[in-house]
Amino acid sequence: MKKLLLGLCVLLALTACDNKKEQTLSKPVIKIGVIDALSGKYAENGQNVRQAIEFAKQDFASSDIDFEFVFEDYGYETKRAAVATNKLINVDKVDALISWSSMAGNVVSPLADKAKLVHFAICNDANVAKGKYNFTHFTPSGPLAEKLVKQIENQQAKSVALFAVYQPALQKHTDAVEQLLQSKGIATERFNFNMDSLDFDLMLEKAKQHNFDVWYICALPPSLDIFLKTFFQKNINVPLVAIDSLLFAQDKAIVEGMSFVTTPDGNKELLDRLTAANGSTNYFSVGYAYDVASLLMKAYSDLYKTTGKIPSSDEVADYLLALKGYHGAVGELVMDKDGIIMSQAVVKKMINGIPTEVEE
Amino acid sequence: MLLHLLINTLIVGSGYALVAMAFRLMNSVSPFFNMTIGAIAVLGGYIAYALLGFGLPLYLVVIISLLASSLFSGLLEIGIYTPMRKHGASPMVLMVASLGVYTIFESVIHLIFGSQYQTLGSISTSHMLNIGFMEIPLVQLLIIITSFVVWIFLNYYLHHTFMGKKIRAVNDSATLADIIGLKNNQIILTVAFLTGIILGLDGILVGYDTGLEPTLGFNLLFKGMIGAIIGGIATLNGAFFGAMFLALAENVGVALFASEWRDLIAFVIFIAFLSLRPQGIFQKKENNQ
Amino acid sequence: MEYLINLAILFSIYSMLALSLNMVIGMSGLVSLAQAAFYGIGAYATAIGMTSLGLGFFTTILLGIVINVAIAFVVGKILARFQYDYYAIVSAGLSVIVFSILLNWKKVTNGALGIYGIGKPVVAGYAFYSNSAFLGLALLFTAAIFALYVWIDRSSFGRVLKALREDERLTHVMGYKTKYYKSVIFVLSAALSGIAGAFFASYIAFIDPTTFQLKEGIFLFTIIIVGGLSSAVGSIVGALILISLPEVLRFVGLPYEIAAQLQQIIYGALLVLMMIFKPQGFFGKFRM
Repeated sequence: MKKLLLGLCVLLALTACDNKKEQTLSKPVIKIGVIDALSGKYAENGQNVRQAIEFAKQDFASSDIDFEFVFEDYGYETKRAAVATNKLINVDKVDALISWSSMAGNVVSPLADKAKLVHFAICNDANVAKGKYNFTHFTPSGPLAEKLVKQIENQQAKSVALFAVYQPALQKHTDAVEQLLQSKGIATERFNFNMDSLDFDLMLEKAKQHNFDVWYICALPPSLDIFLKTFFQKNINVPLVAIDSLLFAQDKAIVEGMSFVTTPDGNKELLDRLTAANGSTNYFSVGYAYDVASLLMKAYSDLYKTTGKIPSSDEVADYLLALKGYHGAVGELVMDKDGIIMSQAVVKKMINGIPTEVEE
Repeated sequence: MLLHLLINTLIVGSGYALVAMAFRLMNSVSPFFNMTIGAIAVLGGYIAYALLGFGLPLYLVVIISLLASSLFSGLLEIGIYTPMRKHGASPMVLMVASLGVYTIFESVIHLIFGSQYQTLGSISTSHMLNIGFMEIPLVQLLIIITSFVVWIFLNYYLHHTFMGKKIRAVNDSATLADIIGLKNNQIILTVAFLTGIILGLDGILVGYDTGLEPTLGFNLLFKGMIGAIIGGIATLNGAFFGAMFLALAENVGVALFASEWRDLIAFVIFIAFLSLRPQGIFQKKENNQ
Repeated sequence: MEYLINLAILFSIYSMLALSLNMVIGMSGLVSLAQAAFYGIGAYATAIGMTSLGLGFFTTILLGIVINVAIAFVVGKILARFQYDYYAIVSAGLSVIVFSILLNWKKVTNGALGIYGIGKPVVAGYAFYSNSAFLGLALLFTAAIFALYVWIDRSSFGRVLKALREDERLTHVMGYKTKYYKSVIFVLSAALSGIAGAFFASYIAFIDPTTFQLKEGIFLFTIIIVGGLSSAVGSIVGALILISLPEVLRFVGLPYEIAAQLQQIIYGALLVLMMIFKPQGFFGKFRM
């Protein structure tokens, strides 16, 4: 037993020290570490995020710098996110970090700050963007909520039922919608449900009794699909509005003809490529991941071109902070002063299974 | 609202009851908290998913899937649990071993089918049936029917066939049954196959109704097990009505409070029942727990 | 090196948890799957205490202990009615209930969004910002819990617990209030896992309910099954093996999805093989 332990320690120590990769190429290499949920509850989303980042790398036409993305799995667990980040920083010696989900963003953010590494988080939690080196990209709830509430006001609704899953980003969206509606004097009732809820019958029946003018849904598959199925089976003839969600529905036929608030164009082609690559239609976060990877690569190679040397974290952070008018996969992007990317919100409609931008 | 509550209770409860009855049946000859019960159902569902992908006709798909899940159930029993029990493993040890088996199973399903959630049929084309006063999806009606048929069949089988009587004898006392020459292994295997079929059916129906996920097994197991225990684990009828009662309590909870408290309600009821009435709702008090 | 220090911090937190869980399972034979709940309550006490209430780290440890003792006292009374596998299932239920409350009681716990910006311990003006200093503090607490474990193990109290584990009825007949003993050790173990929770919250600086699910309770259980029931050294060895396993797998170079599943398969296989060949664990003294 003692020998086994000793062996384990030696193995760990060896692997920790063994990171001097031979550099035969003359081109400088920039390593970007990605803390991604490649296993666990959100593995499908995490794997799609990775695929999107790999697409971004393929598409990025850089001649001067080689980019290397090092993916580390955290299995959607905080403790493993912390260890994965430390591994990327101290063993792989990455130059910058990308994290997916608010959970990972929250864990990585203080570590990146301490290590003085640029960290781009794919989440809409403003806390994550604190500190000079931290940036977030995921449509902030504000613009989406405004667009959605305008849609609801157009319906002359007096009361809205808000259905939302317990997922951090989606709860943020729904909180914003709820506050905005209440400030405009529209009555709301909140119906939350857990990630693994599969039976909505009674919940919808209960809401049906209250005769809300508009229903709102913010969820992910599989509960999203079952929610929609139950909604239609019950013949609830109330307008159903949504932020993003309908985009993720696995059964595209069920959402045909419905409109929802989301981020602008650029998505479509990327999403098709993703489906072709791994068959998944769960597009949550995909466009953002593509943007984040592209932006980091652009920052490094632009700075390298102008100065002729590998830019420091501070230079990259300053570059990103000055970003405006960048056309990304989720539309026109502008960085605000806190390091949060502001993107626009539009209304899209599912036409022949394709999300198409429509005029209101 | 009340009508909906009752109908939904029947639908959800029937789903729980299938697992609860399988749990109860297995427990009668192999008495421990078997964590792999849910896995057997999940396997049936995924095999059906794979076969439908190959374009096999539905009846063949169902037959092969049920065979697969009952084979899996039988293999677990004779391959792992029975030999362990022969070497004096306590119910606790068996429970931990079955937890290990479940963990392995979930990962293997992950590796083969991916973590995506899959449905056996397209959701938008699911049939709706008019039953007079309301519309109900065909698959949910099938869940109710299957559950009642299994319940009636098992009641008949356990009380009116020779094999059924042998199963009950083993249930009463495994040692005694051994002494009078009942072939324990053969009986355990029969029960394992039977549970496999019941659970396989449940897996396929769930696959059509709400879809399959690798992690589904644990949820199926927990609700079925709670149903079986609060009804009184020692009787088949207890398992059936216990499952229905659990569904009713959950639904009343959702109707009165909010849906997010559903799991909490289920477990509070479970613990309350075990503390106050450990013999279950439908059983007379015994001295030994 | 920094990476190894981080792993060591995690290892020491899980050693505390394994030691405290082994007091309940190993010493007294009560298979509790509720440990993740007390771990979580401790972590939330520190998170809420340090962020919204502005308390110091050590004060929040006390706060977590007080809350855990109160809850464990009530829960222990319920659990004392059960034995063996029933005890395990009921404690699993309690874990689900606590998780549900952490997730849904948004006003206090901030729900699914979690709590961020949890600070580091400060002693007499010295803040434990560096990882090595933090590790030192964590190891100090681990050593204290280890010593406490050994002390209880050798005390007359520990001997009664072990007697109770082997034959509860006989111990009762001999005039020991078995329920009292079961309750005391359960409360103590809950209090100690609260300390581990406090360290976890401060180390990660962010917590959310998903960390404290039943799955985590089962993971802790796996640690002491692999290490050894009723063995202080075993608890630590178990934590070392299970905390380093995913990290070793990181370096093997398998595709991520496969590595993650392989890790689960190894956990599962460890459980099954241990149960078949060595139900008392590598260093264990008691078999279930």
